Amino acid sequence: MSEHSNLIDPEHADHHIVSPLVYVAVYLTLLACTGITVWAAYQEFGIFNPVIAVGIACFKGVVVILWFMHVLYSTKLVKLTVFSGFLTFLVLIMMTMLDYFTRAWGRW
Amino acid sequence: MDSQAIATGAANAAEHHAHPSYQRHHFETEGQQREAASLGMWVFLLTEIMFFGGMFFAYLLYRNWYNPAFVEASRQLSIPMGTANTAILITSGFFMALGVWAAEVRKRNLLVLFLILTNIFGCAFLGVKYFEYKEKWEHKHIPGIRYSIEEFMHPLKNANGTTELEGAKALPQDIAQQTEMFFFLYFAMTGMHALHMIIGIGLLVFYTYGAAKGKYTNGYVMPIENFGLYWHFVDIVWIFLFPLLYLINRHG
Repeated sequence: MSEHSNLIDPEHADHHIVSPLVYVAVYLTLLACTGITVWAAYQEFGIFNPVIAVGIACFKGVVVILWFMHVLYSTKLVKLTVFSGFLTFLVLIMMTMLDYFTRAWGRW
Repeated sequence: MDSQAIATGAANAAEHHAHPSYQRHHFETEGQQREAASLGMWVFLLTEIMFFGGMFFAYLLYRNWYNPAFVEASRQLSIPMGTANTAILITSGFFMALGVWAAEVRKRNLLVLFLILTNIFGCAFLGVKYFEYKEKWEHKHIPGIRYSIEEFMHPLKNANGTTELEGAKALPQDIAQQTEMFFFLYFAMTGMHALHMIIGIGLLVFYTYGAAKGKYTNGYVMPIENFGLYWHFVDIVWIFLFPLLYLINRHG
C-alpha cells in the first residue's frame, strides 16, 4: 500500500487472509447440511418438504458466499453488488411467477 | 502492451511510484487493482446467476404445472449418486478455498497440490455424472425421438411383485408424457452445469501450470482468487440443483 491508500481506498480495507481452520469448519458444515437435506427428503413434512429443502440449500449457498467466496471480508462495494444482484434475481423470479400463476389460476 | 506501458513509466520514474510487476499501470495501488478485479468477477457471476436463473424458473413453473409427472420422473435419479456427487463437489470447493489460502501465504508447492486436488475432485464429479447419464440413455429417458414413457406407464417390477424403484406409481399416458419435460430440464440444467465444470477444469490446468512456475505465489493472488470465485459459484449451482432435481417428494 502506498501513502495514497487513504484517498483511493477510503475504507482502508486491510487485506484479510482467511485461516484454513475456518475453511475446515465451513467444509464440515456443508457436508452436515448435505446429510440433513437428504434425511429431510425422506420425512413427511407435508407442504414444508420443498420449503425445508430450499431453505437448507439457501443456507449452504450463503455459507459458501460469505466464507469460501470471502464476501464477509470484502469491501462494502462488493457486498452491496452481491446483495443487489441477488435481490434483482429474486424480484425477477417473484414477478414472473406471480404473472404465470395468476393467469392460469385453477387451470393446472 | 502493458509491459511496454510499465517500461515507459519507469523512464519517467519521477512521477511514478514503485509497484509490483503484475500491477497494471492504470491502477494506483495493488489493493485497488485487486478490488477492481474482484468487483468485475462478481458482476460476471451475477450475469451467470441470471443465466442459470432462467432455467431454475422454468423448472419451478413446470414442477408446479406437471407435479405428478415430476415426482415420478425424479424417482429415476439415484440419490446415492447425487449425494456422493454433492460431497465430491463440496470437497473440490474446499480444496479450492485452501488453494487461495496457499497463494496468499505464498506456498507454491501447497498451491499446486490444492489446485490438483480441486481438479481431481472436479473430474470425479464428471465421472459420476457420466454413469448417471449413461443410465438415462439405457432407460430411454433422454428427451427426443428415442424418449420412451414405457417405464412411467408400467413401472419395472422385481420378481416378488414390488416396484424396482421404491414407491413408483403407474401414470396414465397423458401425464407420463409430461415426464419428458422433467428430463429436458434435468439435462439442460445439469448439462450446463457440467459444461461450466469442464471449462473450469480446463482453466485449472492452465492455472496449475502457472502456479508450478511460481506465478501466483509472489503476491499476485488475483487470478487464483477470481478462479476460486468461479469454482465456488459452480458449487452453489449444484447445491440448488441437487435438492430440486433429486429430492422431490421421496417420502411416502
